Amino acid sequence: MKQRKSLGSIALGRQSSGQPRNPGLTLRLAGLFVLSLALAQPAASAPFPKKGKAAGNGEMLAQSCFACHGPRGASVASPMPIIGGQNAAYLMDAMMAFKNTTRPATIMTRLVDAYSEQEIIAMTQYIASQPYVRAQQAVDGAKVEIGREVYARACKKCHIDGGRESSESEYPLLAGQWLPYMQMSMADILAGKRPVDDKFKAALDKLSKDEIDAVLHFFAAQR
Amino acid sequence: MIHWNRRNFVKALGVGSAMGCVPLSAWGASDPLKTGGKRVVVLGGGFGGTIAAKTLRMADPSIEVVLVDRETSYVACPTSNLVIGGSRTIEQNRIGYDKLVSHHGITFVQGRVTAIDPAAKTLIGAKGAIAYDRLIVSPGIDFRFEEIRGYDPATTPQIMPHAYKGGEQTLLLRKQLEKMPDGGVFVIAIPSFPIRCPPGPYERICQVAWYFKQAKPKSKIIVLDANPDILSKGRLFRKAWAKYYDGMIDYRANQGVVRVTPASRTVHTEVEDVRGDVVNVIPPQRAGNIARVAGLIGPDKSWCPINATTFESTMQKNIHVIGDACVAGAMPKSGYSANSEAKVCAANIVALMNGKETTEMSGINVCYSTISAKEVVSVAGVYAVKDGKIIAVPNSGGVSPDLSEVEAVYASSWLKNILTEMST
Repeated sequence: MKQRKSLGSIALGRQSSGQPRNPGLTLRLAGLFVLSLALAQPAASAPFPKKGKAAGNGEMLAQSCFACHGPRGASVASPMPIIGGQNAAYLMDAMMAFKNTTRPATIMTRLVDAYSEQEIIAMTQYIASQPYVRAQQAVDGAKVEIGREVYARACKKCHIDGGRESSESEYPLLAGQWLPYMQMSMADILAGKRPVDDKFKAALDKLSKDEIDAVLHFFAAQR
Repeated sequence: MIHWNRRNFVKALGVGSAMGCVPLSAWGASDPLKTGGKRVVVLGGGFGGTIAAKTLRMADPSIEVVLVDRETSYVACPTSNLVIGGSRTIEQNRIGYDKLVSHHGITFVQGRVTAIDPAAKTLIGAKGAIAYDRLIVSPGIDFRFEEIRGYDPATTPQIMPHAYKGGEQTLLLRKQLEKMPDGGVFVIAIPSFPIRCPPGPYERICQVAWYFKQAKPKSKIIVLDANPDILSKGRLFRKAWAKYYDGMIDYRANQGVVRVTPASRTVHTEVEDVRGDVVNVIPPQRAGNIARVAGLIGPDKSWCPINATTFESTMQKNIHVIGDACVAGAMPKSGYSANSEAKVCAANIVALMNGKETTEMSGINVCYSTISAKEVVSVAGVYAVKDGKIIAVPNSGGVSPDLSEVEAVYASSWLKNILTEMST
């Protein structure tokens, strides 16, 4: 099988097997661990308040995102995607893809260049720590039933429990994500505008367009 | 419910109460919370004020937050140009405060504030005084009517609406356009920068042209712009005007209005007199009136200078100014900017009240303009502090590459999300 690595994978040093064998990823994870420890430290008490940089402060950086993406990232307005509580590595991967222009977007590709990789780590960690609130939305019941079967056959190993969990943090949570957003994203992927990893591509290659659409309805229907 | 007599009211208010404040119940609010002497009052329940109040309570529930507004609901300006164009109702832009205040334990008081006493740390209004430890002022804009000769602030807006605050004025301009016969002339006068929502007047031109094209195709639009060029997204607006409204829009730069004759619906610039059937004069702007009364206006005589990290006024201690009224460096005066500024300000007030380090600001602005029935153009930017000033982060941000239907979809979800964030 012809191997094609996505740029997102390279950015995170991800292996298609999903195992952290790559030293780059191990280092990255170690970095995240150190960072989260640093964030968890209580602020040293100072006689006079000093000024901290925004760079290390995920909350300061991420709060502005919620004016578009909804309260604490729980978008109530389709198709703006829900980002609060999404997997941190997936969010990081998405931001790096916007930065590398390997993922098309309207606003994100313009905003992302303002942030360093360290800042993106800090902000995605904060966003991921917010509650994931699944959208209440209308779906096609017949498609949901077809999608349920497609899901069991092709998707459940990575998108566990109806998309409520993921086998790897690089894979997005999909349960209750806005359907039009998932449809727009999938259209970009199928049109080759957005590279995906080999495992995902292999799964998609086995499915018809109708089956893919049906499984998106299935994910959207998860409450 | 506790009955508040003067004595336990004074006890709850702490220091400020010695200045003769009245209980909040006099303002029609429920009783204040007992939070140990940390009270932030937020004046103005728009894009800045609602978010500041909410963020304070979410970050530190030991802070008592009192939100004060003249009204019991708020009409948002973004997309109000679509009401003028006829494709949206003003009620779609209205939010209430009920859920916000009950979810977050905010005390809401309705009433007009007539003065602020920074030395006594009190707000003064018709119903009495309210004490604060810190005050956030988010009053939006008012107008420098006095710079236009012949302009009577009481009567001229009824004849020549500015429609630059969401609500009655928006509906009045819409009504005038509906009554205008086909073949009429719409005149729009744009004031000099800085103004609230720099792309707003040009979006309005698109929306009025869109309405004319459908209902009154022989009509014309004359644009008198006090600025040397379109203030924002110029290339995209020009493209939209040429693509959809060719021949309808007569754009004249460097034509600031110096005088008006409301009786004949005529505006006068330094070089010409222009009469219209519907005349939309947007006067030059300044911070909301309360900022002047409180001594928050800086040397530019119009806007409120602030510390770029805490948004604390550089004119008055313990008063913070956010939104359109403040001088936020490179950040444009927009609803999105106010939302960002509110979050930065609230986070740093929490830090200051708890003796912690403040954090340098990081902010975003995104602004969408609807140029046809289906297409939108946007500008987006990220802001940070450098040498004490708010700057646009270099090599980022910018405008849409082209007119976009996809952005129209995201524009409507942006509005719903930001209004939800403000009202829940």
